[in-house]
Amino acid sequence: MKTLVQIFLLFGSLSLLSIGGGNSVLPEMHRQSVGKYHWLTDNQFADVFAISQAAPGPSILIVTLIGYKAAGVLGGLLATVAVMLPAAILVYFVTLFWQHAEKSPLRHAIEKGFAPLTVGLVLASAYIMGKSTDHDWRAYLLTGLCTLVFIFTKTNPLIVVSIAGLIGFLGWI
Amino acid sequence: MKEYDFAVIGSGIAGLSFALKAAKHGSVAVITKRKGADTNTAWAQGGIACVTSDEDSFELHVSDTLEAGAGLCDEAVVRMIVTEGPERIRELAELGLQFDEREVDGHRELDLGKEGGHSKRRVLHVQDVTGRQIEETLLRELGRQSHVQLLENHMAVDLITAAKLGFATEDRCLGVYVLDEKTGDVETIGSDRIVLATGGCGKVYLYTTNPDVATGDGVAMAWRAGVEIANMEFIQFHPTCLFHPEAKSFLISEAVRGEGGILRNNRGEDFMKRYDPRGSLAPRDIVARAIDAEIKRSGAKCVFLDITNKPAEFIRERFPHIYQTCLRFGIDMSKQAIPVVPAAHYQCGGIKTDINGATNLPGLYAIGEVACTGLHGANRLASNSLLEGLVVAHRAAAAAVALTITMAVKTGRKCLHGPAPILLFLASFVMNGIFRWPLLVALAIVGPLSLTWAWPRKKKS
Repeated sequence: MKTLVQIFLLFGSLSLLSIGGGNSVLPEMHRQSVGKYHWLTDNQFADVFAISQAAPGPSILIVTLIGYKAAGVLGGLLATVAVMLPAAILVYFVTLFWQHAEKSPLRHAIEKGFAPLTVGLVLASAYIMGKSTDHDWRAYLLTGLCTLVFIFTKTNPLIVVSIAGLIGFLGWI
Repeated sequence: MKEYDFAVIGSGIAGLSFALKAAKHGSVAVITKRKGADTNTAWAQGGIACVTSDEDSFELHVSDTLEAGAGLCDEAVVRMIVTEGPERIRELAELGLQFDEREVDGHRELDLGKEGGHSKRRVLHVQDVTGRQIEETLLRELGRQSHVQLLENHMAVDLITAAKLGFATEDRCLGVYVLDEKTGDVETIGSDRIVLATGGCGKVYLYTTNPDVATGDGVAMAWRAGVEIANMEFIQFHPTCLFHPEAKSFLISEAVRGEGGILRNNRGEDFMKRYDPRGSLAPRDIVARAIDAEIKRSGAKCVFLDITNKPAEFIRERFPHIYQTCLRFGIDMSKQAIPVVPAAHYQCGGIKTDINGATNLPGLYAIGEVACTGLHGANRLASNSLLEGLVVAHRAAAAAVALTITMAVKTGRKCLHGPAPILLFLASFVMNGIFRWPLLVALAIVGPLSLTWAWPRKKKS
């Protein structure tokens, strides 16, 4: 029961803090679920991250897998609801206000001011994920290559993921 | 909403060439009002001006273009388009287009036509149906591409821009609303690279050589989106449009004069000699103005283009299309002069672009007749427009593909422009990534800082 409450509080609060999408709260998610509650190990976190990215659907579904690791099916369901509900309610009310607030300085400040924060948070996520998955130069090389491919081309992620997956499957990493 | 990597509006030489090049890098939608081949390109009889013979040179082509343009051409643009021409022509030939050849001293070489304003023979042609052959070649090749969707009977209604949607970001083109003429539905096509290749605006005038689709809607859409337009006052009038009550916009190619056709007034006089030493082969604007003056002076409805000095066999061989059409209207051009009037023919100005077809609205490109690159100046040199379409389409495709890269870099740069946002970015990265502070703590520190930084301040007057 205690775990369920923890799941609900953790993901509920992360839901409201996830400016710039799910990836920007990954460091916090990692810090709490691995470091604080020990629901899963560093490597398991990297695995569920990869699965949630590769599986269809929004990548924030990583919380379902973390919740499942922590407290089984119920934990998974609860984490999913917790991560969706507060943000959904918030978005509903903000949308009402946003449309009418075209000239509002707050809207302008949020759109402009949070952009650098989001980029910083996503980079922090990349850094932490890199640290927990990449343990030798070949892995760093692959991470770097994939990054370059995504920056400079519009290649379908599925193709890159499949190729990287194949490389891993063949045991080259 | 349908999304494409590139959306091209218009299916003439520029639009199709762009689509073929872009298709190697992503999905492409080609939006066209009627059938794919219902374009001004398909009506082009003359050909493509391009330096291919040893007697000719890039410098001569440049100076001819500059002279026709009445001092308003951008010389750097002219030089570039002229110099890159041969490469693009070669690509067109590789797609299977066979330009007319002739036999000289036992070897075959391109049969180059001579047209008004050109100091050398340099117009590549396929009889007098060059445009139709180009259109067919490009459409055939397009049909082989799996990444390209040709949306026929789809009319672009308006461009979608960030400013129109009320986004606080920098303005850019995001897509286009398109009317499906069969169902009557307006569809939304999303693409961060929109290419206007909609041609000119001949239909604005009573007499025009253009097909019904040339209504100038590309310029209108761009204007509504706040894009810069230039030189729209320079509309080129073709001096010789067939004058016949039943003929609709039928052009008698400049090549007829190039091959020896002479303009005569209703008294049979070779009146052009009075207006210009080059006579009937003077540049179009001079000929059109002279015919206009002659018609007004004499009160006649038209003037006459006489090529009866050439053998009937040569005429039928070199101008089969013009010959047959005139014959249908009861005029045998090998025996009698063709009645002609000037008609709106080409829009020299248009949407202002750089040499890569980029407009001042990020994400929006304009190529072909709809654009104003600076090649034509105040007056287009005959057969330079197909060349411009080919060359600029190629450059625009390269620029649009590279936009993916610049956009990633630009977005980063825009978010992180100046010391304050870079500090905010580093702070959020270090606190969360390296020191692993709780997100709430980090946000409580940098959140108010970023809002303070981004809060709109009144500009000091």
